[in-house]
Amino acid sequence: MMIDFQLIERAREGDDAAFNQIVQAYRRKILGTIARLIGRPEDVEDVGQEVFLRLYYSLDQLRAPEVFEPWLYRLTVNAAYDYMRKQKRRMESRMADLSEQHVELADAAESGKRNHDDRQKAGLRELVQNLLSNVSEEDRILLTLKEVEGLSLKELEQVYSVKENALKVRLFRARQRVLKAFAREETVIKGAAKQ
Amino acid sequence: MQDDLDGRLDRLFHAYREACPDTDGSANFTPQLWARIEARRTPAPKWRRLTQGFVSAAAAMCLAMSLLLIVPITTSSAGPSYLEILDDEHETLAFADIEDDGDLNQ
Repeated sequence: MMIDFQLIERAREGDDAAFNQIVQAYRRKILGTIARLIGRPEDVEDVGQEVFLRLYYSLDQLRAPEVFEPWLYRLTVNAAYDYMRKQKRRMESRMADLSEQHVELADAAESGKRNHDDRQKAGLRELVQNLLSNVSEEDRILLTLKEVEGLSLKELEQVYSVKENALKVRLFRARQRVLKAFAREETVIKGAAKQ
Repeated sequence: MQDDLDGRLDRLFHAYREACPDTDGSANFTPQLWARIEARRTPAPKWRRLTQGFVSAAAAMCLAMSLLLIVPITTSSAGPSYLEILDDEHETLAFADIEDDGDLNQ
């Protein structure tokens, strides 16, 4: 725990200063997790504020201060999931509006703005996001929490309130799909490098 | 081959984590958060007041309606009903018959 139970109790009783301290303690960790879950740096703060907003209005539902961290993670997962679904709808309508030529021009302009290091990072983010798009949003979040965030199965069990075995099966299937997509991607990259 | 692919995927996830490091966000993060909290908090009392007003008005109307319904019942129950009048008249007639019979017997 990054904070003591008394602080959570005080925040639950409506102490705004205590809530502010909780935000300061977890802000960095939560924003980092969101960045890796959604893969879009420009929207991280917006989703992060949504997480803490939900936390503020749901603190009274927290059963015990001991389960605060899994609770906060659950709020983060839910906010990221909501964002992804909205984003998917937005992207679909935006892509329907733009002609293919416009999309290519927009991509070229965007990549021209970035420097080499940023482009590499953006490429890496794009590759991982692309691989993760082969599984559902739920599995994508679960896999990211396990593989990227490094949460243990025990911690995931608390976050999802699901038995460890069920999580294992789900994680295995999701990883297999991503592995297949990764193998295909590598073949394409190798093929392009030969040419 | 599969192990190798597994390992490469693990390294890719690790590199992804490095490419998206933890961030504090902008200086506006907390003020904007509080603005959002306040924005959600403000309409609540307004709605609560409206709801309370509506509930009070509905309760008053219910009371008035039930009074209107009760008053005619009580006033009507004060006087005799049609059946009671008929019953009374029948009893009067019966007494009259008995009296008439008495007179005949004498």
